[in-house]
Amino acid sequence: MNKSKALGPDIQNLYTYSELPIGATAVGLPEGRETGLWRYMRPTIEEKIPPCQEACPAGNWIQRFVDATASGNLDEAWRALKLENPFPGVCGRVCYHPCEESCIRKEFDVSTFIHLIERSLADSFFNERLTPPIIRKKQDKKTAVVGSGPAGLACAYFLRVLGYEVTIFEARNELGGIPQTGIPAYRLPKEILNKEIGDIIALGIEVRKGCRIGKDMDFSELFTYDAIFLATGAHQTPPVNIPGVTNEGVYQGMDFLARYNMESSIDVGERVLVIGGGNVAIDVSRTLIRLGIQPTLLYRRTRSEMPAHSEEIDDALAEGARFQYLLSPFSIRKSEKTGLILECAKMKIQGVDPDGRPRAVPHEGKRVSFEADQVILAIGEVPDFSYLPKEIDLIKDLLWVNEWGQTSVEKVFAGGDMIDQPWNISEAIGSAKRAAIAMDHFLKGDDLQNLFRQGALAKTMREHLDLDLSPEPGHREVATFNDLNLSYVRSFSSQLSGKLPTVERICDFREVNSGLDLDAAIKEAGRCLSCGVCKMCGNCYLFCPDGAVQINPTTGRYAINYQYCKGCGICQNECPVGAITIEAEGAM
Amino acid sequence: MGTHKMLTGNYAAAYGAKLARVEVTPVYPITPQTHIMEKMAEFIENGELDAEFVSVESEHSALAVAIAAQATGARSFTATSAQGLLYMHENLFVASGLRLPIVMVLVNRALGAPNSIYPDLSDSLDQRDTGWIQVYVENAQEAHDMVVQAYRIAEDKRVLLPMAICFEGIIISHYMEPVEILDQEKVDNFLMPYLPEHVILDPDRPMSVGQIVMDDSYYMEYRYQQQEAMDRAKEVIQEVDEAFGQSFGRYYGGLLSTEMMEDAEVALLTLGSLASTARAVVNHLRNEDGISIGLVKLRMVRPFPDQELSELLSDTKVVVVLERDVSIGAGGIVYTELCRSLNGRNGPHLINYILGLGGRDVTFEDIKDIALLSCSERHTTTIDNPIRWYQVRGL
Amino acid sequence: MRTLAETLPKEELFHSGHPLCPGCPGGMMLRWITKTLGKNSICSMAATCMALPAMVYPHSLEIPCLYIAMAPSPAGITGVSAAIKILKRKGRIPADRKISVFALAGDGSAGDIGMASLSGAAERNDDGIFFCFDNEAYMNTGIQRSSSTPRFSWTTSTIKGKPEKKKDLPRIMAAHDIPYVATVSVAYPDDFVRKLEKARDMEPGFKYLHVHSPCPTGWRFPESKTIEIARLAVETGLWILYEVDHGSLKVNFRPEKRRPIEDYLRPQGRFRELSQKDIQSIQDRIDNRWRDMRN
Repeated sequence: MNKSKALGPDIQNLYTYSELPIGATAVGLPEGRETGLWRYMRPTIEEKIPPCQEACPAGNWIQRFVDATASGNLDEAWRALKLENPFPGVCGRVCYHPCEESCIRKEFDVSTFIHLIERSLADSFFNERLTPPIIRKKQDKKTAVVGSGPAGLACAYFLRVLGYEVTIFEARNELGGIPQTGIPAYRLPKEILNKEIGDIIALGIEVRKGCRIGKDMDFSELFTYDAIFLATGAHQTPPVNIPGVTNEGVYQGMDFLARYNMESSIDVGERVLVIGGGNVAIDVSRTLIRLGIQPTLLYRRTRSEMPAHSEEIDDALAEGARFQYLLSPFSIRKSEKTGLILECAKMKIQGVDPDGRPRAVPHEGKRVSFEADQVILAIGEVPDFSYLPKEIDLIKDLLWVNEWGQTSVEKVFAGGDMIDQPWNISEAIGSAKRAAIAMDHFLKGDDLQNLFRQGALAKTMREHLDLDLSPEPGHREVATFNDLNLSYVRSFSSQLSGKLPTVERICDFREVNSGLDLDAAIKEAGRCLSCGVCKMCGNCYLFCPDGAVQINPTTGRYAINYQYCKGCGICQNECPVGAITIEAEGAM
Repeated sequence: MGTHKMLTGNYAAAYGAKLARVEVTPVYPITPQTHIMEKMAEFIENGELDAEFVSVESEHSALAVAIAAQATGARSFTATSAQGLLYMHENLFVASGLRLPIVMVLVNRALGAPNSIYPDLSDSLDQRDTGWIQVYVENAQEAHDMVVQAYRIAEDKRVLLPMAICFEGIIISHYMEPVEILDQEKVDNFLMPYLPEHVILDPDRPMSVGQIVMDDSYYMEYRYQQQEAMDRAKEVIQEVDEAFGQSFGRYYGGLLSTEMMEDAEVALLTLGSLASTARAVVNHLRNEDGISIGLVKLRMVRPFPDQELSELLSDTKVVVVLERDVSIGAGGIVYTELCRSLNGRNGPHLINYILGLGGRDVTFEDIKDIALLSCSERHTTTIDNPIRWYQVRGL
Repeated sequence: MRTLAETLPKEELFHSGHPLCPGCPGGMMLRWITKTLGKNSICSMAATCMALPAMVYPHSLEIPCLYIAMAPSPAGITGVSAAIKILKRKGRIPADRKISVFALAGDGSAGDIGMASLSGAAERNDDGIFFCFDNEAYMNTGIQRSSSTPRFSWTTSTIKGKPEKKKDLPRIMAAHDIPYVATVSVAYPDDFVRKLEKARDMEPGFKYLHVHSPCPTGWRFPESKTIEIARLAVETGLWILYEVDHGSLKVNFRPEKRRPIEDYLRPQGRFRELSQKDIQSIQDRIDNRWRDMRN
């Protein structure tokens, strides 16, 4: 019997008794009962931003590379990783992984060890020179990058990926910036850094080493390029208001590290004082330990206020560094007998500083003195702006840039430690990426201001190159613990990476933290909850009582057929990753 | 020619089913039907019949299995009696509503309480509203022949209704008579295999069999289809009787058969085994006493031969309905049916005798007495108390 | 490893646009069953909510389907499989064609009115798979008590809670010594489909799958929670996923730590009136049952 005439009572065009099939049989399939009309709640497949990705200053595509790793698809994982970050081996070691701090799995058992997965991927691809996942066709524009630290190199990489010609100007004779000169090898082996730098340069980037702008070349010559990215970092010692800092035997922390790292030797005595509580102070202390010296670190506040990463402080303590708190350097005197005498004011915590940190104030004028062969001041650096033309505006002690990294001179962009943002490698990479994307628009003649207002200015390469396959990209919320359905999560503890035993690591500069082997990394990646991002687990499809969730053949992703969806909300309730939202019909 | 054997009515029916090459036989034992089940089991076990014998756990399931098997395209056969029939009652409607030509032998037995294994036709007559074709036979030979005929009638595309062959327990089911067992080859020519097109559970042609219809859609249309099929069954029954007679030499008259009715003033109308006794009485009264009396043997209760009876009885003065059943509060079931048939016509007086219930013996003399009494009433203008209980002690 | 969503056939033989309540687990179950058994199947349907999508035109089940009456869906398996057998012998159905016969019945049909039919078909070991869609009451008629309604549960015919205990139908069926008996839950589709595949691929005979099927309408919980409630039944140990394969029993899922039964009872309106004592008695029963299931 033909399907056009239904047997249901809701259809006007009814059969007569002689037209009906006999035997109370019905042949035919539904075509018209639109059960979607019953719906008063509307589920929507709407992916969210994983909090790890939101937290990552570099804009890594964490969920994607971790998920690909978990499914053993390492090439895809590597491409997703490399798309957003040319330094996975470096970041996997020295980035302080704010991603893991925001990892939702932490609420369930322990964070997924994202940095170890990143590092393991980088290590496993160490001997391969994989091209980036995409290189856009050649664009007829030339760009200049000043400085070859992480920001400069990253910007050069992204610009190259976007098809531009790039020339890097580096004042030193080595590329790499702080990771090259300031990070000791026990944290970042040189071959890892140089491998990743090599991979970037091999994309066809022109490099001019030993070319300090303002000295070896005038800034104005840069204007022959179509766009310029400045990333000269912060290497200058700020004025220090302590009598005697110019005495022989008093070093600046970064200089000390650079000298050691570049020359592999430095003369120090037995008694070395390190002043400061940041990462440089810790790096200096641990470098000294490896030279057979037990340094004393003096800090004006207490352990809990130290800006250095907690794990590093623990390592330093374990390796034998001595810490003394609530001491502020007052003066350094030269003594004929005993080398240097450092006089410190005793401090106490009282009230709060304008930046919210507990304030250290002198403790009733009490003083204490230390004898030392060397004193190393690790109390911060500032950028050098002396080479910049006047048209480029500064703000306070930093270079002014707008939201997308453009300076007050239109074709000049900047990133890294020169601008107002936390000084670390992931922030540097992130600022370089945002600037590279903005430069791309600039070079195409787009109205950046307008794009920014529309929210159309991407912060990641996947968005910029339209590689994110989410069903409904655009404005998305960050996934929260409550979005997830943890019934589908089985608890299993991670295999922690190890550290070299203390007795072994203080003898030389071997890398302290070991990574995960690939199998362990794949297993660890399996712990990722994929917060807010569909993993194609199929729950919505399997559990839909109405068969209204099906794979869209063109996208290969799940989609809801609202003609039939009754709005029960099971898909939303059972989505392990929280990629489905539900709200009252018509609430939009 | 077939072979001759001394057979009970039950065995005669079972032989008929075997000759019809039934394919699925779900049966549950109940006296007086059980011999049919036993014989079918034996045929299948011996390899004389290639079929599936299903020993179900109840009559309800017996008919359900038959329905399911028939709906899958297999020729089904079952048999039951009395309480068993009532237990399958709801499924009788299903079989006819699904237009499945299942054939069932109903061996009539009184319904408890009080309990009896002896006959009362009320059990099957009660089911006359279920949409089944019902034939009542008077002996083992007719039972045998009608099982074969039933499949041809029921499976006819104009009909497609289930059919019951009814005969009295013990009297027909258990007493042996000489029976001609039909020749298999001739039966095979008479009866084509069952190849349904209307209702079939076939994965290549998925359909919902037994659909639910909503309030105002098609319930009436489906019911009317059944009525139409039942109406068409009348001509099919006549055709099949004719064809059977040509093949096997026995004619039964289709819906009904008559004896000496040409000029009869008085007609005895009955069904089942009573017809044999009544036939002897009619012959005797005609031949010995010259009384103008005839016999109407009602075969089909569904479809009921309304028009045929009203034509047949138009000049008759008295019709005496002898029946072994009763609808308490109304009278004999056949009598009430006949009243409906002759409704509104200035026809014969109708007298109803309810007798032989629970297997009470109805003798030649009993029927002769009734016939003579009725003859005396042919000139009265009105009949007092037309519904008469006969043989009740103390009445 | 490929997920169930990937391995199950994509084709839907149970179509969208059916009249089951929003959130009905029957919709899922029918999709999984039809995907697993495929087109070469015949369904015998009892009077159940499941008859609505399958038997009301325009129907949603692209599989031949027979409705006889409330009780005899198991007899439907018997009749269909007997017919297939003889028709294969006679060559009217190709002998090598595998046709899966299955029956769908609710708990009231399977465990009450159709118990004799079910037991009969099981005892005869007729070839087919029987699904008891256990939503623990007569739902299609409006939530009346069945023998499968759990103790203390509200229904429209036990407004102060059912005093009697739930009939343990799977154990009764296991006592028939049929090739396969399994308990399944809509919250565990992998387990469901694995067991169904096992039943499908087994030698001819009667297989029984008992599906724990939370009913949002009758159990009084939000329709988005169907799977959650089903899962809680398993995680609290109330509903034990097990199979009896040719007489040998295996518990398929043992919760590492059973959640308190209160977690399962509280979200359901039908258990709203339970006292702490009632809850404890249910907890004790679960604990005892697991003690018995230790091995």
